[in-house]
Amino acid sequence: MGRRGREAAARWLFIAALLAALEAIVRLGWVNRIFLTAPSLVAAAAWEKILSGELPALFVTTLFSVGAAFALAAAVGLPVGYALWRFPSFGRAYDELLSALFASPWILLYPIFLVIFGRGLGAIIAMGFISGMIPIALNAHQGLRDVNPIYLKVGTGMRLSERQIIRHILLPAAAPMIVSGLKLGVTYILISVIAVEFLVEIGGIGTLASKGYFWFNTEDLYLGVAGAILLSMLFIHLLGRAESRLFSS
Amino acid sequence: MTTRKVLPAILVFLATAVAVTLVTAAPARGQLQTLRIAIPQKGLFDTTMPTWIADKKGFLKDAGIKAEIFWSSGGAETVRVVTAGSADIGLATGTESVITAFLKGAAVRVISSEMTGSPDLFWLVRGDSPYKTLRDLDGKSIGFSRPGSSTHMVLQLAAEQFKIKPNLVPVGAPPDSYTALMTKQIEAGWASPPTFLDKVEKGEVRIVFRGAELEGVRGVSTRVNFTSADFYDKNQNLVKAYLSAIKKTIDWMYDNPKETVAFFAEVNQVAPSLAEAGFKFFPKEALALSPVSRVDFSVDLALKLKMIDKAPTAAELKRLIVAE
Repeated sequence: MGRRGREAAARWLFIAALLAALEAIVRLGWVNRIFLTAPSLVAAAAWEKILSGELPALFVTTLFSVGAAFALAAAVGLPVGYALWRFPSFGRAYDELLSALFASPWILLYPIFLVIFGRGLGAIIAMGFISGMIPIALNAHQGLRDVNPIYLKVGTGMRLSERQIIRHILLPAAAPMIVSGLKLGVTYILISVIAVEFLVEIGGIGTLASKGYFWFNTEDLYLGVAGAILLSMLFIHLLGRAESRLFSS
Repeated sequence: MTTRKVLPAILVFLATAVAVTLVTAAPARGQLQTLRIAIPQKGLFDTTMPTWIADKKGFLKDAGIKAEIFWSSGGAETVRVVTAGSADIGLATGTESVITAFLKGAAVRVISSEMTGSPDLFWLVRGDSPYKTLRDLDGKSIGFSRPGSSTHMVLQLAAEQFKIKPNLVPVGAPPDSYTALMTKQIEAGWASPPTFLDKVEKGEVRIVFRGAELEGVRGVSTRVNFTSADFYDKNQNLVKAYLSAIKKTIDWMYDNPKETVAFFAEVNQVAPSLAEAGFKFFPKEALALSPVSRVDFSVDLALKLKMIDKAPTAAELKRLIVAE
């Protein structure tokens, strides 16, 4: 078995041990089932909901909200990050403000978003967009600032156009930071989307977790949590693949 | 000779020991037992006032109880707080929620009724709304707090009673409901006294439906007080003493409405006139602690909402409901 295989085995062994321990704790009655439930019961509930079509529909709803928020956040955040770098006085004026906003608990503003965008996916996507756009813009700005100025001087000396400098110098040099920002962005978007779904009971798997909590369906609650983890893994995996493809090319 | 000398010393020692024992034992006899009470939704009349006033007027102290009050957001949170042992008694929780929790493994015991019927809930429309009654809201969006709550139950029953098919929208707590109403996301929103009665007074909103109009829930214990099975088994006398103090307080509240209104206004920091208007929503019989009545209604509701798969057996209900 290769190094990667051993790493994967160690990872899955740990997860399996954790799940087995949870199963034993619940089956032995050491913890009340309104607080914690056995992974096998969560799996059974998942299977039932897959067959009925409920779980796929909830996943698609959350996936759509996260995807739309991420696309918007990237479409706005990357140009904002570039503008912060391209116009230094603008960057100095807004970088700190954006950093402060990044640390703010945006989730508390959900009632305002509901008023502006209505009680629907619009409000969820808008909250996700704000949560994701800021780290994407900040990381893009930082990545561009870290580009060695000598590269830019070389580019200018070679009479490259601004577009060529962006394409051949800035983007490749800043790519690691930009991709980190995108990963951070998707994580914050996922947290925001699921939290708002949980709070207002609109949308996908956050709603499932909310109903599970309030109606004492502990399996549904943990199914919602497991769904959020799966979605996070999916997005991070997709971004990782995009990153390796970008760098290999 | 030696005995003569030693005997008085022994007697003095014994007398001193007895005196010291009596002095130190005296406070133990008068010591208060701490009772940790989880109260949902601070400020609501039925959830808050009986225990609050019992504490302020010394009825709990007379019963040998020192109250430690926890505020909770209600429902599932109260059940979990009590089941986890963080609170001894949970108040004012939807009967169907407690039944659901019990059937899903929470070892709880219902010790009394808390609210009979639903006189406390009402629905508002904007002042300029063309809708006069709930019947006019057929096909329109009406807000309730969250699925499975008493607002959800009342609204569903009201829709049945008035033969209308509104679009039911979960909007959360009264402030969220009011925001959704005023920003035209919904056509009617819910509230509970004294919330937004000042807006009613100013004509900014109008009441189109009161829970008291609902025939289906009359005589139904819609909310109950409960404790964990373990706590109940070990502290039955303390539970009885608490309920007795609360019963005495409710009698006092309706014998002294002016003082009750003053307490209600103080807790909610509203004008006495507003508190008085809120107080009028609650007939004394709605706050009766016993009996826990028409549990079959709550069981049917829990089944209908798919909160539970099957009804509890008679034996299970007997184990759950220990109220007199």
